[in-house]
Amino acid sequence: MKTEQEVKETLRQWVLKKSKKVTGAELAFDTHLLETRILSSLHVMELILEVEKIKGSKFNLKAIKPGAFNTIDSIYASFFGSAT
Amino acid sequence: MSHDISQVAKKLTAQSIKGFYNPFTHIQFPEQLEKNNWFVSPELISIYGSPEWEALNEEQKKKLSFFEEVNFFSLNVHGEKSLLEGLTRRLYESENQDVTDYIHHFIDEENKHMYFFGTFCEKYAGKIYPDRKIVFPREYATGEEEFLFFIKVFVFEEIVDYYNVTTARDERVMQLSRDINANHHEDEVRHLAFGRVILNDLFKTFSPQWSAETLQGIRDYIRGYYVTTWREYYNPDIYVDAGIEDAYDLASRVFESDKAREHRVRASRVSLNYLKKCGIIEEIFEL
Repeated sequence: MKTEQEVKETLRQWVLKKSKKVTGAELAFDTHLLETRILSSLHVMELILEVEKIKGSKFNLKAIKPGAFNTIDSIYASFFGSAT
Repeated sequence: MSHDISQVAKKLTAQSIKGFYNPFTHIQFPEQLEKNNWFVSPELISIYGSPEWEALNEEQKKKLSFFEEVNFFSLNVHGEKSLLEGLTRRLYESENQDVTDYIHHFIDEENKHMYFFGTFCEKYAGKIYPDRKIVFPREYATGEEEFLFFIKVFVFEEIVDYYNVTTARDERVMQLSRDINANHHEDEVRHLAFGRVILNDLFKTFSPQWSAETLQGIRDYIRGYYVTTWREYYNPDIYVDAGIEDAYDLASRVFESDKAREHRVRASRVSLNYLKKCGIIEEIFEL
């Protein structure tokens, strides 16, 4: 089981691989991914697959709250936090 | 590349009226299905040709083909739901009455297709695979949202038609699956014709008003939409249900393989050539 830091770093590396619009030095866990267009709607399907892969299970897509994909921090809180 | 949209819409409406059918009696769904069958052409199966594919025996390959078809039909259900929402919003919005008349038939036929796809999935798999796509609201330039709606329809339907035609013609595939694919293709021929003409029409109308940045954004979106649409054909849910291990890694690995890329290029060639011919994209891109 990965720690919080490891999960966030895995997600950070995934964003860097998929988006050509940001460098490693610019991307922090609290960087806005959608507002800054680092990621678009088109990335989200693959991001969901990545989250499922790390988590080892699927989740209810209908229960996703607005803002869940804003930052790496919010992705962690939405899908890996204690409430999920 | 000039067509009179009114004439095309009138012709397609006449063909739809001539070919009108009752979806609830048109295709018979037996209570049980013999699962030891090909449900899709083996060459269309997402992992075809990979080491994982070669490791399966024929019975396992046929089982996988069933879940591949459930995925394909699920993608169609989700795609057609979005299409129906978009088409319904466009009813009586066009100044062209012939276009509105044809949209009625387009909606009618898409609803019928969804019934066939949904019935197959629910009756024989007990489920429809979930849709992982999410669209975030954003602002658009004049005509951009309209154009992107029809681009999404175009990409989705052109890829689907390649699968429909291949499976419908394949005598190895079980009859019900061939019938659903054949029926879909017969109606889609009209939808594809309409989609191509309206796409070209919208591009000619609005692209002169778009800034270079907007146009580049649209071209990037088209490429991204092709990739995302294709990625859904490599759904780890299929492999989990077929009993294949490491489903998520397998999906990524196969998607990125040369063999899969060649398949995507082959299946997308006609549609990409059309977009290039219309000037919508500048170059044929890799998938």
